[in-house]
Order: sequence, then structure tokens, then C-alpha cells
Amino acid sequence: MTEKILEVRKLSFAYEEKEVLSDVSVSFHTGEKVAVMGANGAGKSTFFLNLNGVRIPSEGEILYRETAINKKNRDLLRKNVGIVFQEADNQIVASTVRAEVAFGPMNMHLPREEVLERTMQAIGQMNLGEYVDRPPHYLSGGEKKRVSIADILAMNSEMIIFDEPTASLDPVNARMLEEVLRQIEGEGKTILLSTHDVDFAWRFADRILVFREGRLIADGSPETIFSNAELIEKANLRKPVLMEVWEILQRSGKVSQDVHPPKTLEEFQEREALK
Amino acid sequence: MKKDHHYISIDYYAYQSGMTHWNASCKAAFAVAVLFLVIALDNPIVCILTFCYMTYMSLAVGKTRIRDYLHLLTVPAVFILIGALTILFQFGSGRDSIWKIPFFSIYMYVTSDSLSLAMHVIMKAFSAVTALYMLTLSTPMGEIISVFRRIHVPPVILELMYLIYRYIFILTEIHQKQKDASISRLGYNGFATSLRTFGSEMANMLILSMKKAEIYYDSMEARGYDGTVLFLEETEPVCARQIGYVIFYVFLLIGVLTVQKFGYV
Repeated sequence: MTEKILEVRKLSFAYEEKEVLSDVSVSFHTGEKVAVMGANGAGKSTFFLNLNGVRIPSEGEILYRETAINKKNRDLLRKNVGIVFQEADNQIVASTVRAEVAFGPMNMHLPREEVLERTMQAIGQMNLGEYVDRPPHYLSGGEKKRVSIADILAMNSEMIIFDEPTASLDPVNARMLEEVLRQIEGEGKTILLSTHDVDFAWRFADRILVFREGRLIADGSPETIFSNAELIEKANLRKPVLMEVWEILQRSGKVSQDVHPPKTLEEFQEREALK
Repeated sequence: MKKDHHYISIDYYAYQSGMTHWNASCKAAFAVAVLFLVIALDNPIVCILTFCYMTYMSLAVGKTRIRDYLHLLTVPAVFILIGALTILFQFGSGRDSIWKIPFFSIYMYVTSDSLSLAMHVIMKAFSAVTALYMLTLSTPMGEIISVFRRIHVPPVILELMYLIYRYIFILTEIHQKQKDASISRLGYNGFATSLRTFGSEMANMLILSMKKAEIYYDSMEARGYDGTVLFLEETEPVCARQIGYVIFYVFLLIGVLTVQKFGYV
């Protein structure tokens, strides 16, 4: 049974006279996996910062579980919506990994035992056990990324937003990240992420939002979105490879017209094996 | 993972030291007490004792590499020696001097007093430096800050220390990348060009820093930062070994002072 966590109504956000987001309305429910796509500068990052209360909308409103967010209860957003920033270095502030992951819980003024418990749990989840006492500047890029994710896990947010999580990750680390996303999904959290990787969005998301010049121009399932050629062109996207390959196979009659394209390579291999 | 900039390697040693897990307040109190002692007692033998003892602690217990330790001593050495030279040499009539050379219409000379004073200053300064190195080569920044917190240094200063410490590494990394990019475009060919390039790099760094500061603020706010920086601090209990070293030093100190008083040194 899914509940509506976040509702955005006619959100507009302007920054120094320039309107960065216009009239955005959308809702998010528990357990959803949403990919947010759009050209660079389309407003995705600003949208995320509005969702978690770091930026305040110029117009429109945000409701967290039916409660309208205003100046006084903005903390509701910050506690329940977490953002993992694109660059780990833009997020890491403390001098040891342990202190870094504990930053969120400490700011929530939780008792020390609970802070430690959450911190160590998040550190365990991200396999950072051997780095607890190490300063972040002695970690590799992939390790820093894991720390930035552990930061947010320790806050136990209901919804986690990832700003371009696979950008600058090598294939092995990207695979590990997808593994982490699966774990988080398994805990019933809502995941929102922005990405340029069309194939990743195809694999991962059950819903895609498309932004263009500050407006939300599409909101639907991956199949719907990627079948819309006009939309793809307008939004600077392309069709996922598996979808293209499947359509080629369909056109040459090798697979049936009614079967949907496979989401992952493994699924494709399985279908081929069954023939 | 050790970088070759030596101001960074102090930090590296702070995490790797054999004394890292000792109680930070105890180390700090010991180092500072020894510092005051060395300066107040003004006793050459105490200075030599301290220098040797602290160097032993840094090298043998802390496991700092000798080469790096010597390199780290050269920076204060430069200042100490310059200071000592200005004390050593005097200008004037040259009366009562033990050595003099003509200097325009007067003399530059050395007296036994100025020589003795200069020697004392050198010894005091060097031994004080080794006492502080014992602390900084074995104590990570976060722990030093927690010691400051305990002696009620204003929170604003502590916050600045935490953040500046973290950002120093980011800034040096960015600068290294900028420099590499500039060198590949011949930006450091020749002195005038190098100066110009360096100036442009610094201006760019200022702008980058301002933009990054905004982003950092966002990410801290996103995790509930409400104006007070709160970092988790760990404290190690005082261990017997640590106390042992302190007591042994005091023992040697008393021994040396006693011998001086009643014997001939």
C-alpha cells in the first residue's frame, strides 16, 4: 500500500530575476523509483534543492504527507528528504569518516548512543568499516562517494535524492552504486535520481520525469516516455539501446510484437535462452 | 598515499603515529607544560634533555621517518637561526668584544654575552619546537580542536578551524590541477610568465571558492545544519604507557636539575 509522501503544487523558483523553475506540479509516493531527466540547466538540481527545503519556492507550495511546508516546519523536509550531491567533495565537511557520517544525526540533536548506532549502521551498509578513523581527503573518489551516501543513510530519510550518482564513476563503482540503490529500495524508501544515462534510467526507474527550461514536460513510465520521439528530441535525450535493439528484432520478425522490451541485459539473455 | 608537500605530511603522520591513540588532552598538556618549562628554566641542559627526549618520542614511539623529521625541523631552524644571528651580532664601538670586524665607520662585533644569549635562544627554541612537534605529529586535527573546546576556546573559532582544515586539502588539490593544466600550456616558462599565470590561477581560485562556499552551505543545510557546527568527538582514555613517558621525563628532569645543583656541570 503506497502513501503519498511529497506533493508539489505549481512550484516556481526564481533566482536573481531569472525564473529557473516554472509551475511544476508532481507527487511522490513510497517505494517509487523516479529518474529525472533533462538537458543541463533544465532545473533538475534546483528542483531537488526545493524538495528538501534548502531553497524556498517563490511561488507554489510543497506538502509533506499532507502538511503544507512553511518557514516553521521546513525541518520536516530536511529530515525526511535527503540529497546525495553529485560531487562528494561538495558534501564532505568533517575530518574523519565517522564524524562525517555522524554530521546529519548530530544536527538532529539525537542522543549520543543513537547517533553512534545510526552512524555505524550506515558505515556498515556502505562497507566503510575500515575507513572510520580516516580523514576524507585520503580516500579515493569511489570511497568518498560511498561516504556521501552513508551520510544520507544515517539520516534515515524516507526519500533519498541522488544528483547524477553515476557521473564520473567507473563501471565497477557504477555497478556497486546500482547495488546500493537496490538495497535502499528494499528498505521501502523512495528514490529520486537525476541522470543523463538513458540506459541506466531505463534499467532502474519505474517512472521518469522530464524537465526542459524549468518546466516539467513529461511524467510517465519509461516505455511511454521513450516511445515518444518528439519528446526525446525536445528534451535532448535518446532511446535506450535495449529498446532500439528490441525494436529492430521486432521489425525483422525475430520477436513478437506484443512483448515489451527487456529492461536489463540479463533479462534479454534470459529471453533468448528460453527460445 | 603520502603527498610530497611537507605541510601535508604532518597531517599524514598525525594519523599514522604510534601515539595517535593516546589521550589528546594529556599529550597537549604535556607538550605545553614542557614548552613553558623549557622557556622559564632557561637551562641549557634541560633544553638538550627535552630536545633529545621529544625527538626520541616522535621518532621511536611515533614512528616518524627521520628524513621527514629533519626536513620538518628546517623550517623553524631558518627562523631560529636568523633570530639568533641578529642577537649575536652587534654594531658599535666594539668594546669588550671577543670578535669584531670593521663595518663602515664602526664595528660589527660579538661579545661573550651576546654569544651566550644567542646559544640560549637557539637551544630553547629548538627544544620548544620538538615538544610541539611531538604533539602535532601524533594528534589529528579533530582531536586538537576538541582539546581547544575543553579549554573553552570560542565555538566560532573551533568551527573555523574544522572547516578551514577540511578545505585546505580541497584547495591544494584544485591548485595542483590548475598548475598541471597551466604547465601543459607553457604557463610557467620564465619568471614573468609564471607570475602572471599564478596570479590568474589565484583569481580563479577565489571565484571557485566563493561558488563552492555556497554549495557547501547548501549541503550542510540539507543535512540539518542550523548554525552551530556539531561534530562527533571521540576521546581515548589515558593509558599507562603514556603516563609512563610523562613520569620518566619528569624523573630525568629532576635528576638533571639535582646533578646541576650539587655537582659540577
